[in-house]
Amino acid sequence: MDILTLLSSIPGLKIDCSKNTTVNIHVGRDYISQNGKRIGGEQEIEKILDEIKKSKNNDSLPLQIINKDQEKELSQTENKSLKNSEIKLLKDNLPKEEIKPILLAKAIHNSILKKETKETINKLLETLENKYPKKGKRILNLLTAGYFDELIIPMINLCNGNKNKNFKEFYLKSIDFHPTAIFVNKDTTTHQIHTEIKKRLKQKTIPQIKIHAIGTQNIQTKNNAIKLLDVDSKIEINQTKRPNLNTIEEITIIKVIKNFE
Amino acid sequence: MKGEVIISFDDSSKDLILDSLGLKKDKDFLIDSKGNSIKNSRNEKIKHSEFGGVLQGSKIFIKNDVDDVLEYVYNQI
Repeated sequence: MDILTLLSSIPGLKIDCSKNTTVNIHVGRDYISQNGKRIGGEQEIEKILDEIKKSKNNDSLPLQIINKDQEKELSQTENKSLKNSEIKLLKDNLPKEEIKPILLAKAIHNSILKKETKETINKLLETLENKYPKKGKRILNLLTAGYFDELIIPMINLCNGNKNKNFKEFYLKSIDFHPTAIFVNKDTTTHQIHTEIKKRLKQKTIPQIKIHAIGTQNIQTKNNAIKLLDVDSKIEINQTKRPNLNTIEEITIIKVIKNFE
Repeated sequence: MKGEVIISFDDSSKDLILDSLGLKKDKDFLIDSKGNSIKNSRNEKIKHSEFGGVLQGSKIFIKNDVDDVLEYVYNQI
């Protein structure tokens, strides 16, 4: 009997048999549960443990067994909606220590898109910040704002997909300082945004700067920084809004007009 | 029937799981029925307190740490 067939015999356990599916079950000391709902006791635990015992001498197990502390990290990073071809491209061009934070950021992005609970998202965010305090949030910002799709991954092909320093250098520089994007979070001050804008405007090759802010407070901080700019004919300022989860994201685009005389 | 099954455990049920896998504690570390140390994909011995689980694909043992989960996912790509 395969494990799914065994589990389907447990009353109260929900398995969608119409398609490939993932069944998450928690085994406690004297109960089993699914999505926080108790569905069985010691008898059901014995059935599951017996299935595990049958496979213990095999080279592989018919299921994943994981501490509940890591369950979300596993299920979200393994999420089949990851574009594996793009992750593989990145893997071929960056060292492992650069791919791992991308995987974790992808997991958080997937959780947000799937509207996972705030608790799950916050836990993943905390993991990202603890493991990758300098770059984690930056990678997440670039990922959720679409810069991986629009810029970073296409750059791989432009660099001919070689394992050379060109793409890796570009990537590391982008994470460290993205010349065309600024992300506002709850800790960013008006003065910091203003400074970052001016730093980028000094770079003569930059055609535009996008300033991303999500939520009322961050949008206000961003707008206060924009007001501090000397708006002249050298720049053009536009704003766009789009829904982001249960709030709004506002993006201010500062276009640099060339050849001003 | 096709699909993936993920069994999660906590501290109260960890020993039940270890017993079903035929693993036991030797001083602080985990060993199998033949007395071999249980190690993760980075060849590190796993302590009883660190046991994070076993993932599919050649029985990959992991520590209770996101690093091991990310290592596993990375190797699957």
